[in-house]
Amino acid sequence: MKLLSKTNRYYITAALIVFLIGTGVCYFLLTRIMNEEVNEQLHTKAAAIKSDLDVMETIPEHFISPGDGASIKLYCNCTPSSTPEYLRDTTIYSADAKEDLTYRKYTFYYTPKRAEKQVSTYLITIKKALFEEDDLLIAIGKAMFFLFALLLLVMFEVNRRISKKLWKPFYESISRVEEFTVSQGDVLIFSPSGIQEFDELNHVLYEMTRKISEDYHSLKDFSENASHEIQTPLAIIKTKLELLMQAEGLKEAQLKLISDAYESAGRLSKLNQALILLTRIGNKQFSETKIVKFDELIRARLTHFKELIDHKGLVLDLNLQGGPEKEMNPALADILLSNLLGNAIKHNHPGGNMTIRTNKDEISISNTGVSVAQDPTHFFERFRKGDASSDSLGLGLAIVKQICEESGIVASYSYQEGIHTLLLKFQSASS
Amino acid sequence: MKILLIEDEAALSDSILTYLREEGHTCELATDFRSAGLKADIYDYDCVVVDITLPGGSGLEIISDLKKKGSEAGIIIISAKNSLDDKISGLDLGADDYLTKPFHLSELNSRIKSIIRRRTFKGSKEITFQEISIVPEEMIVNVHHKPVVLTKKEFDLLIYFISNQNRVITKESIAEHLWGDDMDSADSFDFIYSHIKNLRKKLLEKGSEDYIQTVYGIGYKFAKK
Repeated sequence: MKLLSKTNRYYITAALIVFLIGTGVCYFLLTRIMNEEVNEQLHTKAAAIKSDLDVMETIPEHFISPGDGASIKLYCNCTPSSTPEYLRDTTIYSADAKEDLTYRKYTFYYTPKRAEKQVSTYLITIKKALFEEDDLLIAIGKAMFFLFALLLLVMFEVNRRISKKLWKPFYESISRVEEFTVSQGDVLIFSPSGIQEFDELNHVLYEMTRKISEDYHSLKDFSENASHEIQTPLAIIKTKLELLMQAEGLKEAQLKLISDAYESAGRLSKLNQALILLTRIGNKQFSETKIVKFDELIRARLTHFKELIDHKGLVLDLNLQGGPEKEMNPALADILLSNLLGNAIKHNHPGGNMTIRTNKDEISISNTGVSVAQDPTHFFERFRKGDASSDSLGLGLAIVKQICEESGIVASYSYQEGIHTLLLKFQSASS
Repeated sequence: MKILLIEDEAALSDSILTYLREEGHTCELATDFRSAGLKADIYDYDCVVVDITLPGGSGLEIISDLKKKGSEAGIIIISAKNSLDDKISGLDLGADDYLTKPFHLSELNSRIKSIIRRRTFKGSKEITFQEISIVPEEMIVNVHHKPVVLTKKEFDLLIYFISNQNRVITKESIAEHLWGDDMDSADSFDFIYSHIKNLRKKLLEKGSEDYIQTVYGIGYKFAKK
């Protein structure tokens, strides 16, 4: 969920609560005010009637049953000991409105203050229609709902506009971080956004990427230096063993020991060299480029491998149709093809087939060979071997991949019906 | 032959010196830049084997000094860095060869001999071993003065054997010598075996004795029985 919708959701909830409380408070305040108003009007009217009665000799007919719901009745020609008065709400059916209407009735006794001996006391009832509470509630609800909707609409729009503007630096930072690759060796530098939080975030990102870059490079330097440092002791081990095997009178068992140690030292050194090569490719230490004509290169490499191909009795199907020409480092191109052709020979069975096809954008090298159980997507990873027991280093295809990545070539592997195929796709020939 | 080894790693220089001295060479050792410069300046050597990274300076400088002096010595660079730039600048300065550590002593030995042959005898010197004689420049091999026809690889193999005669030579070093670094050695052992078989057969056919001995598990030895 986006931050905007999340905040909006909170806003709506808060606004909803406020509006509900507001409706309630409004309703109670309004009814109270109106109640008081009705009471006041009743009292005013009562006072008017009283003062009228004070000056009138007789009560006029229309006064006894006035149309506005008031009634004056002669109660008695005496002065009651007590003259109670009370307010009461009643419901009266109105034929006009065809519904029950609520009225407030004010009933009181009054003895006019006249200079007459005969004192009459009147029972006076006046009433006033009350505003219907349901209607009031609905009216308040409608008003509140309208306000609520308006507020939300305005809030959404304002929020949307603000966040679009406010979050702009944030999205800029995100896209910068997305583009960041540690191997490129650069550090993220952000322009100040003018917003403290984002500037803080940018600063942290800058510090982080700087640290990552630094660590990455020192690690890279370290691994390259370490690899070089390993070469010298390895050279010592190998030469000492070579001297040792020259000794007279060695028994077979001893020779076997020396041979195993020598072989392992050799493997270690080859492994180390392959790792140095990978690091050096990664470090872009093969920066010189020239146009490499792959058809020519394939032919040259095949001459180099010819004896081995013949020795293994492989049938070579060479179909070079004007292969790619690409600007890249010639040494890397050489290593690339040596690795691929070497693999096609090494993992082939005696008397098998080897097919090399090229066209303007592709080189495909396929060979017969036993199927491999492993997932082909892992083939290009370091130390992956089709056959775990094989004595190959498992770095050949990792080197192929690294060279391809550096040179903008797409390498893919496929296996179908006993044929392994490695396909190199050149995005743009001779670019 | 007089050889100067410039190498700061004592354990390594020990091995190299032992191997080369057994070949009958007179060897001297310099372990830092200053003493190397002095020795190279004062004495004449047939071959200088020089490490690039030295305490006190670069082996490349010694090479250029030697060349300025007009030295006739063959120069082999040995370096822990398999760096194309070092190799190119070294060879540009006039070095004859470049070996990356770790290397096989037999390989170093064979390269020293080949350089000395080329420099001292302008490549015309015949190599002889008992009834076998070789004219390297012309790729001619005779057994009892009768020519033997060898392939390029068999020829290289024979010279490698004779250069390291009476020494145990490992399969790995043969593979690297014939194929270079980019060859997976384990894969080519079988192939080497068939080359050796062919070479032996061709030599025996012309009446040579069998000098190629198999050393169990390790490789071969070219020696008179």
